[in-house]
Amino acid sequence: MIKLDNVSKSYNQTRVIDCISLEILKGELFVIIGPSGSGKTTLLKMINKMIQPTTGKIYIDGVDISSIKGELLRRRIGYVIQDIGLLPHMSVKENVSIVPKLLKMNKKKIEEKVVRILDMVGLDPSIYLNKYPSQLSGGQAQRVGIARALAADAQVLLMDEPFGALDPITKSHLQNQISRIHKKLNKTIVFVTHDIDEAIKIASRIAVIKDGRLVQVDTPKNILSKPKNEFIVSFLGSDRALKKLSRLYVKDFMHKADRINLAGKDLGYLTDAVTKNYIWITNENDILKGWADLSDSDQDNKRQVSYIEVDYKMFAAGVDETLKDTVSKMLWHSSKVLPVCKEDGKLIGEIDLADIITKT
Amino acid sequence: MISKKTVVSGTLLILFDIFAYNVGLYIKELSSSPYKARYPASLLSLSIEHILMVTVATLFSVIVGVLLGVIATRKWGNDFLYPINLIASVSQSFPPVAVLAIAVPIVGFGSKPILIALFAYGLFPIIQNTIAGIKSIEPSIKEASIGMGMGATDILVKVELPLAAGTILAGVKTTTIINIGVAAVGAVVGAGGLGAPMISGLIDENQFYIAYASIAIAFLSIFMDSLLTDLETIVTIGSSRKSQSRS
Ligand SMILES: Nc1ncnc2c1ncn2[C@@H]1O[C@H](COP(=O)(O)OP(=O)(O)O)[C@@H](O)[C@H]1O
Ligand SMILES: [Mg+2]
Repeated sequence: MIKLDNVSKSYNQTRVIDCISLEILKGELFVIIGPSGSGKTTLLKMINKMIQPTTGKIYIDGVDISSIKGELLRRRIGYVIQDIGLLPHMSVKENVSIVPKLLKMNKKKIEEKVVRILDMVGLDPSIYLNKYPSQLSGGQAQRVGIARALAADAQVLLMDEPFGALDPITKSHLQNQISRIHKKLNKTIVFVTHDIDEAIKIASRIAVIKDGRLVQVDTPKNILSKPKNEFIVSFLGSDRALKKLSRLYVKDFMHKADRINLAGKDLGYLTDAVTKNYIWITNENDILKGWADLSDSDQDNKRQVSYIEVDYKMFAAGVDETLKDTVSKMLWHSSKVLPVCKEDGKLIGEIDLADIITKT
Repeated sequence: MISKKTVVSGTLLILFDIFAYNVGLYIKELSSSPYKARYPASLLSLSIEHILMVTVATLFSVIVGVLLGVIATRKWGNDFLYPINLIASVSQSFPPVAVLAIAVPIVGFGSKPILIALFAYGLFPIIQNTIAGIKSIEPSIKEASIGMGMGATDILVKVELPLAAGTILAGVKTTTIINIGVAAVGAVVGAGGLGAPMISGLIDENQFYIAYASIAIAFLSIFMDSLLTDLETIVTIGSSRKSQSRS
């Protein structure tokens, strides 16, 4: 889809991009990561011709972009920056319509499109359509920024540290949103960041650059398990084992869970019926209510039962949750095993710390 | 969007013009000074002449000033920034009277020399403010505009000028107010306007004429200032919507 062939860029004899060759596949969410000043922005801007490479060629869909007029190329490539750059004198609707208007799409089609895209980025059109940028929070403004980049149906989206200025919660929401949009629309996204957690969370592949040179290009999993050199190891940080868990999901590690519906029975029944030292308690609809602890025994070696009521919202792991979140919950609840519930609380399995440790 | 101040000062200006003119006619009858025949025009028509003179000169200053300001802020026009600033400051440091002295032999008497003087004198604030207004636009806004594939003309017309409009208009206001005062000088070269009764008053030692022309000019300044402030408010709201309430 996008191919960089021996691309370099120099400013007065200083090379800021040094012979980068790279192929980004169609439909990838390709993350470029590196410390500040490593040349990420320069690299990204060469893809939409905002910066001309000093040497080397860039191809999009096999076409050498030096043969395309910059403006025409850019209308076909979505572009999102950290500072967003919404036009303050235009409403949300006008901002999102800019590129479709440049492409001379018809007015009615633009209007429908704007509504649909605002919906997609999680902004209610009936509320936001006629607002002005000064009336938006940082997160809302960046959603508009993303909507604006999507409005022209560009197949390629370039994003330069788009979430760098947002608070952690908003940032996390927007990362999820971008992952969802990426899957849904099957766009090729080139995403620049200096945040390794963000890269691991959303990337199909990651390119690590340093001083204008490519250090490693690989999947998040491989970067974490086989970092090429010391630089990447230090960049990943000492918690890279935990980071790896952020790319693994509960649904792939859970297994079946025994449960008992306690309706009409007393706790004593459990000591005979259950051989394990714990069991999940559900109600008649299979909704998790708590668990029974059978690990204690009295002086006569008779098993003791205690029933611990829990709120599944706090206690259970979700199917689509990352293992990182689950391990965190285990630590929090001091439990080696957690139930896995659907959103409505229905118990569908359990997840065991031992499995996480041995199988990842 | 027209403010109370504009309405009040405008009304006062008209009322004063009518009132002072009638009193003036009365005094004229009483006095035997030779200006009787010299100054027949009504104060109201002089005020209109005055506004017209200032407006035409300012309009030219705006056209040329904005154009030069835009050129100076283009990437390719960076080399022009210094000479343009130079033209602007020189044209303002030249006293209008000196410009009149140079212009009269070339274009003759009448309103032309004062229009030239006003035009030159008013250029500076407009060039300055155009440059300042365009340069103060957040780089990210231009960056995003380029990134979306807007062309240079699109960016100028749809982004830079609308966002700089408030600042440019502030320059227009300064120019207009200064020029209302300076335009009175035009009467010495026969340009008419509110300077005319002033000159007559000076020649004939008639304090009344001097006073009523001065007061009319003061009212005119207040009125124009207020009118342009209204316009500024409208444009600024349009370009930033800061004062728009959350709906
Ligand atoms: N227009 C320019 N002129 C000279 N040096 C530049 C220019 N733009 C960027 N650089 C330099 O190129 C290097 C890479 O910059 P950039 O691509 O913005 O890095 P990043 O986005 O990774 O922080 C930096 O050292 C920066 O100082
Ligand atoms: Mg950067």
